[in-house]
This record gives sequence, C-alpha cells and structure tokens, in this order.
Amino acid sequence: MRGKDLIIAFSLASFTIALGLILYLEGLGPLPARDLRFLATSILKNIFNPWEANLTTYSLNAVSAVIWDYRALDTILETAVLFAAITGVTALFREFFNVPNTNLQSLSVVVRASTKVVLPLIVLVGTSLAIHGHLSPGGGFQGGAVLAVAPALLITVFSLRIVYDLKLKAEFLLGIRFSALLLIILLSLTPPILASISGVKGYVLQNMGKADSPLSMPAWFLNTPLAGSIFFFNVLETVAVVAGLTLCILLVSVEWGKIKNFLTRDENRE
Amino acid sequence: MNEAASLMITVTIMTIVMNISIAVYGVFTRPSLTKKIISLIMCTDSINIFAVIIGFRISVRYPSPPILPEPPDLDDLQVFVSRSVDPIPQALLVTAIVIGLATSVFLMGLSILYYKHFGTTDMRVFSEEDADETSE
Repeated sequence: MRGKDLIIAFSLASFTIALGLILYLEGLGPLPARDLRFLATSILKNIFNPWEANLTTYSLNAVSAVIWDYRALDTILETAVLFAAITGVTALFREFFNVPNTNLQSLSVVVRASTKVVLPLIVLVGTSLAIHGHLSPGGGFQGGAVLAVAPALLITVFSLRIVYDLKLKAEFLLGIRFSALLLIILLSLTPPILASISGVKGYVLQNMGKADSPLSMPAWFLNTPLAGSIFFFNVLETVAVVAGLTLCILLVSVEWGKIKNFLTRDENRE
Repeated sequence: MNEAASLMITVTIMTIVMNISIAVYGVFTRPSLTKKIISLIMCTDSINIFAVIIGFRISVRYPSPPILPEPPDLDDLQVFVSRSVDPIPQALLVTAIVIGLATSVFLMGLSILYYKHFGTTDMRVFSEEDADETSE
C-alpha cells in the first residue's frame, strides 16, 4: 500500500513539474501573449466594419461573430456533440416518467416564496443574454445554460410534482430540441437554396453578402444591428440547449426519485 | 506595473497547474464515482481558465473585452483592436462549458444507475463483483 502511494505521489509530482516546465520554457509561446495573434487582430478589425463589406458580420460581440460566422461549421459540430450527450442520457433512462408517488414533498414555504421571486429574474436574464448575444456579452449557449437553471430550481424546490402540474412530457422536450436543430441546419442551407433558385452564387452558412454572392441576411433591424444569421442561430441554439438540458435534469431527477423510493421501501420492510 | 502583472499571472498559472494535477489525482485514485466526477469538472474548469489566460493581453494597460459598445467608426475600430483581448479562446470555451455541463449530467446519470445496481458509488465493488463472477 505504501509503495503504491509513493508511486502515485512521485508520478503526480513529475506531472506537475513537467507541465510547469513546459509552460515556463514557453512551449506554448509567451504566456500571456505580448501582442495579439494575427487571426485575432483580423477578426477584431472586421466584426463590425462596413468599409470591408466582404468580411464583416455586423455583430458588436466578437465572440458571437466567431461562434456563428467565422467558425460556424465548428459550432454546428459542437452542437452535435451536445446532442450526443443528451441522447446518451435519454438512452440511459428509457423508461420515461414513471414518477414515484411518495417522497414528493416540496421544500419549506420560505424557499418556495423566494423561488417564486427569483424565477422570473432567471428567465429574464437568460432571454436577454440570448437575444442580445450579438450586441452585448452573451449568446445562445450562455442564455440556454442560464435558462436551464430555472427547471432545475423548480424541480428541486417544488419536487417532481411540478412536472405533473406543468404536464411536461419527455417526447415534447425532445421534439422541441429536434426542431430547433433542424431549423439550425435549414437556416445554414438557406443561402445556397435561395441562390440556386435565383441563379446566383451562395454558400452554406453564409451570413453577409460576399464579392461574388449578393445574398445577405438582414444586417439591421430598425436602427439596431441584427448581425444577420448570428441572431437567429443564437435564438435557435438557446431553444435547443434549454430543451436538451431540461430533459436531462428531468430524467436524472425522476431516476433519483425512484431510487429514493426504493431505498425507503427497503427500510420500511426491515 | 508590468512586473507585478506578470508575477500575478505566473502565480495564477502555477495554481492552475497544481489544480490540474490534483484533479488528475482525484480521477485516477478516488474510488467514489461522485468524487471522480467532481475531480473531472475541476480539471475541465482549470483548463478553461488556462485557455482564457492564453488569450489575455499583458502589454496593454487596461485590456477591454472583445465587445464593441456601439457601432464604431474607423478610429473606434483602431482603438478597439489595440486594446481588446483575443476573442477566439473565449469562443471555444463557451461551447466547451455547455458541452461539459451536458456530459457531466450524463456521467451523473451513469453513476445513479450504478448506485441503483450496487447500492453504493464505490468503484471497487464493481471489480470485486467481476472477480466473483470469473471465479464462479
């Protein structure tokens, strides 16, 4: 046993020293960088640059511009990874919604009342993060993650009975998630489809017009920058993330409720 | 100013490296599945913070976030490019965090099923059960 501990301690120490040495010798370049990398400079210069119409995105938020314009293909694949994780959870808990009838007590009245105050604020902040993702800090993923806190809080505070009261169905949430993903893919295919109808060039995931393709998503809404497809992708991604994470939280807590039920029943028998 | 800042960043990077090794220790040696998941989340978060530090700019006195406050003119763009931090690591992290959330829910689901089957989250029970089956 002591030999094993020694080996673990030694390997951890050498791991730490090796990693520290790599960073100290600037194996990843000087940290943090003295100056911006070329790619970052070019992105920052072009996110909102009407004088460079071929490269601009009309988004004020550089992070959203990178996510849904410059590297949008990456993001669609990462959404697929998220989808795979959620599919994994649904596959683990295939027996949907046999909610146990015991152990459905909600928390005390203080917690319930304060939750009722906090809950609308969470929804408001999440929605605002999502729909202003191209103007201010935020975006589809962040808004979705904030909004998914609301169902988690609801289930914790009001117990699983809230699922009955709201008539939430796993198939319904899965359906929302599927349709949001389908709409994302459809939206990314819209420019080439429109282009083939009208006989000009168009690209998959195209946002603003390019030199050889006049097609463009709307850049302005009234007098606010809309950033074209970035806004729509943000909203759709929020819907997909909220539906997926709510489904995960629901399935895990249903399964946990069953286990609690199972355990107390055993204790009663003894 | 710059020396103090770089000392701060060296300390932060050292802390992150130590955090990563503690998390690796937890994942490899703790028998409880819950503690393994906690260590894994710790590891992910440390690496995320490290990626944010890679994108930071130390040569600028007051670096700004990569967000324009309002539609700019050409001078605003020049100032923005000279002061803003690198947006690419942040863009990569946004997706990494949400995917990390979904995968940790998946792992927790797996450990709930494990608990349902064995009545504990101790990984050693699984290998003992395995040994019993092979000896039979």
